[in-house]
Amino acid sequence: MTSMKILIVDDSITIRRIITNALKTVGFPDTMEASNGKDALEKLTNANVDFIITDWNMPEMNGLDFIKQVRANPIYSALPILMITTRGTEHDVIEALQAKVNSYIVKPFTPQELKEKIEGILKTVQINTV
Amino acid sequence: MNTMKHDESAENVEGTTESVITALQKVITLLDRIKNAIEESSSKIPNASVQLNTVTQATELATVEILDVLDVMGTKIHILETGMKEFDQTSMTEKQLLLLTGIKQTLADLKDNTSNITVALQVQDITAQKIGAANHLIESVRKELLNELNFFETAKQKTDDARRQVEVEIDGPKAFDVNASYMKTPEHQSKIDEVVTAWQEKEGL
Repeated sequence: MTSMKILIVDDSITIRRIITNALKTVGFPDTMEASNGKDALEKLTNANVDFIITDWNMPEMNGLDFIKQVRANPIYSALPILMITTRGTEHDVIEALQAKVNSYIVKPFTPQELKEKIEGILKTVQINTV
Repeated sequence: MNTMKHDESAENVEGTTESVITALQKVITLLDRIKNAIEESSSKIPNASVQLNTVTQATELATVEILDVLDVMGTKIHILETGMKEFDQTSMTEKQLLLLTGIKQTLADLKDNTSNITVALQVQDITAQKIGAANHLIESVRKELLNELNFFETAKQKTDDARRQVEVEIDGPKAFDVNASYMKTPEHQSKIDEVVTAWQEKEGL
């Protein structure tokens, strides 16, 4: 178990709940939720978030614009971001990487996939900060 | 002779005029029927959209209820697994050890099963996105029908009313992926991972 706080951003209640449950089973029980990018930006400023998991297609502010806004702020430039979306073309992945997402999962995903991706990102972030 | 020709021409003109009037009356009736059909169809669309949204809301509610149950099951399995570790295996008979191994395996299987159900429930989100895409299509058709209705001057007021009604009633998901699919092969994710790795190497990350 780790005390890392993870912000889950998705407009689907089902997916937010699935990610929360999955994170709990793989050792990341401390989570908070936002229903779109705009909502997430507000929550990000009011809480100490260590990791972001975000969807792409969302109303108000989509995941890509949200990531761009997060990365534009120097405070969050190194904050790990994992994108989980139904968009699975190479073009989509590259667009997300250009926006500086750390890793990318296409739905549907397994809790194990989620765990591996989070651990992979944390490992890379640690190496880069050492 | 000339008078006869003149009379014939007058009769022809009169006949032709009558034919044109009859034809126009038919066209007017036909246009009126088309207008009514468009009005009727466009007024039904909001109901279709509302019903589709109801389906999404109902499946979402049911899915979250199932996820609640799975969460409770997961917690209980975790408690049992932790409890099993407290057993003193050194003082157990061979039969008891076999039984304990069996119980541990069953718990591990149950954990896998709950995980598989969780994965399968993601179909709700994918279906919701498909319904969202269908609703968007329906909305486009409705807008086209309303544009057509604008050609009928007399229907202008009704068109505006219909438009206002639709604006109030249609309130579905506005963000969706039209290509959302539940079928994801391990190769698909591997290919994405390759793209991510190649990018990170290129960027020196």
